[in-house]
This record gives sequence, structure tokens and C-alpha cells, in this order.
Amino acid sequence: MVQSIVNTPAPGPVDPDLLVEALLYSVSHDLRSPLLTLSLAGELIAESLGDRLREDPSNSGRVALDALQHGARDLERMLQSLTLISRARRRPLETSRAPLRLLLGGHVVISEDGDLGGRLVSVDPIAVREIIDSVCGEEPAEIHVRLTDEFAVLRLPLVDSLADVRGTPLVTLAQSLQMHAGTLVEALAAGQVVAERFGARVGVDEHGVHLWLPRLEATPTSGLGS
Amino acid sequence: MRPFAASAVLVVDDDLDHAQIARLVLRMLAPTTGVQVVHEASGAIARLDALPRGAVVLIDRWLHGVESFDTVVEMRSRRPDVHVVMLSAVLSSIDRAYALACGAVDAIEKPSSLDGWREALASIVGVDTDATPRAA
Repeated sequence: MVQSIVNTPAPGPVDPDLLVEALLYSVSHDLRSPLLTLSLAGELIAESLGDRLREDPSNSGRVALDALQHGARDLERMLQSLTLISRARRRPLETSRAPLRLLLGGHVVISEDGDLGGRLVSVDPIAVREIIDSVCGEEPAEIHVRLTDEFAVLRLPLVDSLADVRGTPLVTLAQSLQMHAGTLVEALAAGQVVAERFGARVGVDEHGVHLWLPRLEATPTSGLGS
Repeated sequence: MRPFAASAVLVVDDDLDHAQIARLVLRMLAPTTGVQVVHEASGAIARLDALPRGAVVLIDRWLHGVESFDTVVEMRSRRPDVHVVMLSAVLSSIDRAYALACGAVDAIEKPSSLDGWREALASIVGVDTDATPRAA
């Protein structure tokens, strides 16, 4: 007995990333099951007892049922947010060398560095387009572009729903699921999780939404004119 | 999901409430379709032989902390004529693809509304949700 204890190797430290991932999955999955039960039970009560509840002069049953359903919907909204983040952490990436024009097509590109359309970045193009679309929608928007040594920096317009957001969307979401679940902050936070996996960054300040996309050295002959 | 008009339905879910809700909705949709409920994979396997041809098994993705993909494979191996549909509280596109690769005919997230359950289960028992009664 003593020998077996002596020979038992000490476990290695827990990988914090794995722990966060496991907790996120566990929270989003395991809590959704009882939440589903609450939501469905509320609906069943409303369907089977609705008339009687409405006729109750004290109205207490109706108030209680409404409260149950509102609470369940609110929890569902917040759990969906955690599920979105969990999925973003596990989403398969398809990183490739993408010219900026591929990412910015359909928008008005403004740059003091000339035409940067041929400059290459190393990103998952679909993930980047999703972030841009979530902020700009389907209408053409003005996107400012500049280059640093490491990044192509895109500045997307600041939309009203982000007027009070500063810093990284993920931190903003984590600070108040109640306030931000189901909003553009949630979509940007999920985009940030994906983007950081291929070395990009996402941030918001008073000037707009910034995407820092990791640069590859631009090819000298790349066409900058289109 | 294409409609099945299941001859019988076996619900396999370790969450007793979800299993009862599925049974209740199935009874509302198709009162004459036989519905059985079990809560363990072993119970599902044990009842497999007795299912009529064209039955549908609704199986939860997690049963008592164990993923049920292997159970899907075993069910399809033993009864290729029985359709298996996987349900889960949360299901990613990767999970769904894996379920289909294991032989499930579909894999869906458990709906969060009764109408969602009606719609999902109606296609399994082959009825029109507009023509079915509500709880009363």
C-alpha cells in the first residue's frame, strides 16, 4: 500500500486553456438541460392551465408563470452566449494567405498608404468577413486601413450599439452577460476568440472597431490597383 | 430532416423530464404511435429486437456521462431498418457530422420551445403540426 502511494506520480498542472474550455462546454451544455425543462414546463402549464390562470382573480398564478418564463428566456439568452464562445474556441480554422481586397470587397476602403488591396494577411478569411459583416451589415461601409510592421489594421465604423463599449469585446461580454448576451458585443466576442487563434486582435475604442490582422510580406508585383 | 412516419418510437434519455416531455408531445402528435421510454443505453439495446420495422429511436447524446455514439453504431449494426435520431441540449456542426457518420439519420439540438419539439417530432411520426392538438 505504502509502496503504491510512493510510486504514484504527481499529476501535472492543469492546462488553464483546457480547463476553461471544459468549463465553458460543461456550463453551456449541462445548464441548458434543466433550463430546457423549466422553459418547456412553463409552456406546458400555460397551454394546459392558461384559461384558468387568466380567470384567477388574484392573478398570482399568471404572474408566477410569466416570471418563470421570463427568467427561463433570460437564462437561455445568456447560455447561448457561452455556447457561442465555447464553439468559437473549437471551430476548425482555415487560415490562408489572403489579400486585403478579398476581405474588404464591397466596402469603401480608405487608406493614407495608397492602395493596399494586394497586401497579404494570414487569416481565416471567412472568420474575418463574419466580424466585418457583424459590424457593417450588408451595406457598404467606410473601412480605414493602415499598416504596421506586424499587422494590417482595419478600423470599422463605430455603430450605435457599441457606443459605450471600450476595450476587447470578450472582456466586455464577460463583465456582464446579462447586458451583452445576444448583442453585437457577443458576436464580436466570438469573433475575437476565433481571430486570436490565428494571431489577430479585436478591440473597440471611441473611433471604431479595430481588427489587427497578422501581415505576410506583400508581394511586390501584387496588383494594388483593383 | 425528411419525414419518417415511424411505426413506433423509443425515447432514450437519462433526463427523465426531457423523456417525459418527448413522450407527451409524441402522444399529442400521434396518439396511436407506440412510444416507449428508457433511460439507459443498455435498456435501449435490450428493447431493440422488439421494435417493429420502421421504428425510430430518439437517443440523447449523453447518457449518464457517457457519449452515446457507440450505442448508435451498435443499434444501426443490429437493426439497420431502425432509424436513429440523436438529440442533445447543445450540438455543434462537428457533433452532428459525427452522429451521422455513426449511422444516425439526423442529429438535432433539443428545441427550447414546445412548438420546436412539435415541429421536430412531427417529422419523425409523419404528421402535420398544424393539424395536431395542443395540451388542454
